[in-house]
Amino acid sequence: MRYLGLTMTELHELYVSGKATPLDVVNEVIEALTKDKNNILEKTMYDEARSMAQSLTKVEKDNLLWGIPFLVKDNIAMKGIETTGSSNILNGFIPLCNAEVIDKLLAAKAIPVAKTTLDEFGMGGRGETGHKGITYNPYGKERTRIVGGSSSGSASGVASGYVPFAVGSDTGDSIRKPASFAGLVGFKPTWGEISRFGLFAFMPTLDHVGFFTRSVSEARVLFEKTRGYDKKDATSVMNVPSKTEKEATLKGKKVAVLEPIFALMKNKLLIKEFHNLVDKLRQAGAVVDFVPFDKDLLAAIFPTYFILSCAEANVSNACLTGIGFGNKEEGASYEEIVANTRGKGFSSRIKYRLMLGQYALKKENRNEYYDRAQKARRLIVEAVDKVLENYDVIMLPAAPNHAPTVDKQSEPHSEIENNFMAIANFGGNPSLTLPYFLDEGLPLGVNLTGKPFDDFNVLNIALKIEEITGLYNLHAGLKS
Amino acid sequence: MNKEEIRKLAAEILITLTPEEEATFAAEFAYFKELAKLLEALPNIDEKEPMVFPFKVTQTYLKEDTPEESPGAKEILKNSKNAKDTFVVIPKVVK
Repeated sequence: MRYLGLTMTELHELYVSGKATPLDVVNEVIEALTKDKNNILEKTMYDEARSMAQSLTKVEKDNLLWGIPFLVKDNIAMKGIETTGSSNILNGFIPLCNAEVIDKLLAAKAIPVAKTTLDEFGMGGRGETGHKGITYNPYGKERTRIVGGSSSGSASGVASGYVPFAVGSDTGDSIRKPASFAGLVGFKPTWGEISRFGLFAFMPTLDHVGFFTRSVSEARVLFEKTRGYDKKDATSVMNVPSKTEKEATLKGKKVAVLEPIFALMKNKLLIKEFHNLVDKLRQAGAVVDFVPFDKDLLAAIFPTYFILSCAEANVSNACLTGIGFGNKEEGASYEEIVANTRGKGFSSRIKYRLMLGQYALKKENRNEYYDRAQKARRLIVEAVDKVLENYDVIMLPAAPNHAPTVDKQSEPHSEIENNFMAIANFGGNPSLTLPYFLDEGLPLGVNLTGKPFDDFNVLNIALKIEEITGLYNLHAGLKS
Repeated sequence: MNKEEIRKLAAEILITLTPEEEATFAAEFAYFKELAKLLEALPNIDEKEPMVFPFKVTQTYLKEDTPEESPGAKEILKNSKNAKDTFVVIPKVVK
C-alpha cells in the first residue's frame, strides 16, 4: 500500500510531481475500506468516487484538497446517497441535495468515498448506539476499544489511515472526544462559521460541523475552505474574516487551566504529561495559569446539556413520521402509522430521550426543566467568557483516560471530567483537540477552547503545541 | 412515574413502547430528575434570562426576494412510501 496513511499535503505533493493520480489513491482507499474490521461504514459510494477521481486530470497546484479522498458522517446529507443518521427510521432515505459543507468540499475537488457510522442521530458519546452496532478504535487490540462518539466512523476511518480527513459534527464533544481517543486533530469552529445546512438537526442551538485531520495545519485548510456565510442556514454568521491572525507563536499567549476540572483527573501519567506540556508552553513564552472555576457550575454542565439535548431532539425529530419520507410501518390510522414507525424505527435509547424531552417541554414543566437549563447555560457561558476575557484559550486534557474497552463504562460520578467540553457548544466557542501523549500506545488529547470568532488564534496555538509534542500525522497502522 | 403516565407521555409524541421499554423508562426518568436537581441548586438561577443564542452580536437582515426552483413534487415524494401521483396518501382521517 503506497498511499494510505499519507496526509493531504503528502498526497498533494505526489499529485503535483505526477507520481500518483487521484484514481490510484481512491482505488487503494476503496480496497482498504472493503477490508475494514472496525465497523465504520454506512453507505459507500465507490463508483461515484472512482468516476470523480478519473475526471480529475489537471492538478491544481494551489489547492491542497484537489483529489483528496474523505469520509462523511452519516448525519450529513449527500444528494442521491442514502443518509440515515445511523437510525433504522431513515433506512432508504435519499437526500435531494448536498449539505453546504459537502458542496464546498466538492467545489474544491475533494472526493467523498463513504458515509460513516455514528451514535444514532448523534445522541451518544461512545460510538456504540448506531443501527450497525459498535464502531471500534483502530488503536489497541483489534475490536476491543471504543473510538468514542458520536462521530465514531469518521474518527476510526482517519485514525486507520484510510483517508487524510473526515467530516463530523459536534453537539457536546462529538468530534473532540473521539479525536482524543483516536490520536487525531478534531476541530469544531465557532458556531455559525461553517454552514449547518444539510446537517441532520439534533440540537440546533449547539450543533456544529467540523473535521478530523491528522495535523493542525490541515484542519486550518479545511476551515478556510468551508467557512463563510450561507443564506440557506439561518444561523450562519456574517463574520468578517479575522484580521488579527498573525504568525503562530506561543510568546505572550495566555492559557488558562480550569483547576477544579484538572483536579478531577486521576490518571497519573496524564497528570504528569500535562504538567510537562505546561512547562514547555511556559518555556516557549506562554503564560499558563491554573484558575478557579465555580464547582456548582461545573456540576451543572452535564445536566444542562442532557436536558437541553433531550428537549431539542424531541422537536428536531418530530418530522420523522414515515409519512413524507422514512421507513414507514403499517397502521390503521395516520396516528398508528406514525407511532408504529417511530416505535420500530428508533432505538430504545432515542425513544427515552425524546420522551424526556417531551416531559421537559410540557407547559407545566417547562420552567422547571427546559427554561432552567437554558438559564444554567447562560451562567456557564458567562463564567467561561469571564475566564476568556483574560486568556487566549482554556486548556485541559480532552478526556480523563485513553479509549476504554467496550465493556468498560465511565467511572461513577465522572460526569464533569467526561463532559466538560460541552462548554464550547454552550458558548459557540472554537474548540480543538490534538494528541499530546501516548499511554501504552493509546493516544490522549489535549483540548483548547478559545473566544468566539478567534478560531485562527486557537489554530495557531494548537500548531505550536503540535510542534512541541511532535505528535502529528498519527495513525494506527494499516493491517492488510 | 407509573406505567400509565409513561404510556401517556409516549403517546403524546406518537411512539410505541415495548413492555421492556415501559419498565426501563422509570429508571431513565429518575436519572433525569436527579440531574435536574443539580440545576435547581444553582444560586439565583431563576433570576437569569434563558440563553438560546450564544453571542452578543446581533444579526438582522432580510433575504433577497428571489424565486428559487424546487426539486418538484415527484422528486420529493421519491422518499415516501405513501406517494401516489403528487400526493401523500394516508388512511382516511375524517370518519
